[in-house]
Amino acid sequence: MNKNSWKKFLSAVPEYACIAVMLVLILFSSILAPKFFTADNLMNILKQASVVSIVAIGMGCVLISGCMDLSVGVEMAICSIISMVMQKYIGTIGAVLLTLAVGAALSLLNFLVVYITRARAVEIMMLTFGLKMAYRGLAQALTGNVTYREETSVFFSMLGKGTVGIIPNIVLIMLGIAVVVGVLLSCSKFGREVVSIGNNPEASRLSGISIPWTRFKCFLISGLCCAAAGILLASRTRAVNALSGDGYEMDAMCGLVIGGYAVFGGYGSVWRAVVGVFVYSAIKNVLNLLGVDAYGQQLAQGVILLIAVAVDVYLRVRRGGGKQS
Amino acid sequence: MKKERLLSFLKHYKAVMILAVLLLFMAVIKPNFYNPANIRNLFLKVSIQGIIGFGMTFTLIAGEFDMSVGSVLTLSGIIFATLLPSMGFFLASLVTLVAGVLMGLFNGLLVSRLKLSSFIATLGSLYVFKAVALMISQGDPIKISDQVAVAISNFRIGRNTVFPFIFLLAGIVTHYMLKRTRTGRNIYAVGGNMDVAANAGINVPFYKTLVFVIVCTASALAGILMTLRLQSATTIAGDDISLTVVSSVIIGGTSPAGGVGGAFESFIGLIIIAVVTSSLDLLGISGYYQQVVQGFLTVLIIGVTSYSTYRKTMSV
Repeated sequence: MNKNSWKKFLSAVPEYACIAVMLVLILFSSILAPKFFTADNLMNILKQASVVSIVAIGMGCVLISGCMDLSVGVEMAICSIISMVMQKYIGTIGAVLLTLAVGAALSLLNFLVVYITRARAVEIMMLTFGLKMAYRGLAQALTGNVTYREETSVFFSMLGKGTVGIIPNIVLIMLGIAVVVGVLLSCSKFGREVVSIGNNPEASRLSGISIPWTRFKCFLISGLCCAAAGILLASRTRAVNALSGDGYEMDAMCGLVIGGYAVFGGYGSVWRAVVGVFVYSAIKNVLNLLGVDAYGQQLAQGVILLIAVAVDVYLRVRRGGGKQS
Repeated sequence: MKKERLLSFLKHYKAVMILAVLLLFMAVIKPNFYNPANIRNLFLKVSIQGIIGFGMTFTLIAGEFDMSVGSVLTLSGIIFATLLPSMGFFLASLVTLVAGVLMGLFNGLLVSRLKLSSFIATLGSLYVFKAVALMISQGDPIKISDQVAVAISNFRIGRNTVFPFIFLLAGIVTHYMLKRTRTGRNIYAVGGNMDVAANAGINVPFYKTLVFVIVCTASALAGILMTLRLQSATTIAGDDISLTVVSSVIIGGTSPAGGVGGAFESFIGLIIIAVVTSSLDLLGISGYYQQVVQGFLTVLIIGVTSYSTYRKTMSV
């Protein structure tokens, strides 16, 4: 191997760091917690991570385009409530369609706020954080903080609980969404535009890409993903309230950053989002198996986020290509 | 000429105008807003988040941002209440303030040395600090029964508690530090233009760390005061306080982009938000809707600020 290809190999390492992390994690967890490798446990991780993965796939698009949406968790909770409650009135298919519409509408409202105010980086985060509070308060007030446990149709409960062979439907749906969004991002003009406006908005604008229109599509994808995740959550847990989605945006965010997404846009792909979320869920699972309590897990969540972001920034600054802030 | 002067006057004192309109509005809608008891209550409520607000003024002027202040408040309260029985009032306060300094150093080093974005970094430390508070207290509230502590929280000056006076004192100290010392001037310089400040020989990482230490120490002080006032420390004491504080400071006219602002502006902003919250209480709006109002208010404030900076950069 000559020197040049070795350099190439080194520069490719960060690209696949999340795979390395996953391998190390699997190695460690199999030593620390022998129960990690039982079929039940692995299946559990798969199912738990699927809902977060779907949220993360959508949020990932928004993140690549240089925006951020911290209200996805609440959006998902609202969608899950609507999908469950509305079945009585408009049938299962109607409820699913309505939920998708509501998810898209909420996400586009966020986009509109971000667009109208011409917010940038940190301002976007603060705006969506404020919107998250508003939505959550509204959802709590309108539902009276009730937990809904409605009877659902067979089709609806099959979405989250059924299996094909041994593979749960929920995982298949997640993979389906991942493939569709993945193809959109990596093989279409839209995908290249998203990466381009995330990397350098000004250059993209000058080369004729419409930033608002591209971001509009990203938020649309994110909203639809939130709705899908909400439907699956409702179907899987059969009990949802206005706080069901609390913390999902942090989970998704952690997964994305572990997967190597740049926090301020321009870098990322769907498989990274999925692997990142699975790594993150596996870490949580191992902590559970080791008997760490809920508070310890919250601590771990914060520390993981900080480490992942620090590593991300370090690699990007070292490589020189990426943005710092 | 006269019109221009009027316009620039309005621009500089728009926060004061908002406050005046709000006060007039309340005078018409709910005259019992001006009840002395209500005003006293308002000042009591604003004093604790106000102390954090003055700390946050430094951070925002330096162009940074701290989401973790709520968790710092919670953790400080828990540390203070845990140490109080064994250490006594003064030593416990001292240790808590030192803990605040350490938390500030943690945030500050993450931002200034590891170059994390301050929003993400402090979002992470929000979880870390809250988790530590939960681990110490196991989620239960901790009651305090120290005699000095009870005496301080019952102490009255006129008919006021001691808290509003600490708040005003913090404001005066902030004003002095920002406008009359070299540290303050350098913080403005760092927030105004980091590269120019660095070229002028200002130690930028030091001041970036310093502003986090200041805001976290202020939050630790607020945590102690909150514990004194409630006679117990809870793990939810500081939830969502960071957003209130940041929006208060920004509505007063301190820019989140850095380099602009001051103690007086923050004071007006804090009073505005306090008046709004108090009015919502008086008008009988429930807690969930207050959250909605607060969320939309934040969106409005940040949105307007961001739009106006956009207009400014476009016109240059």
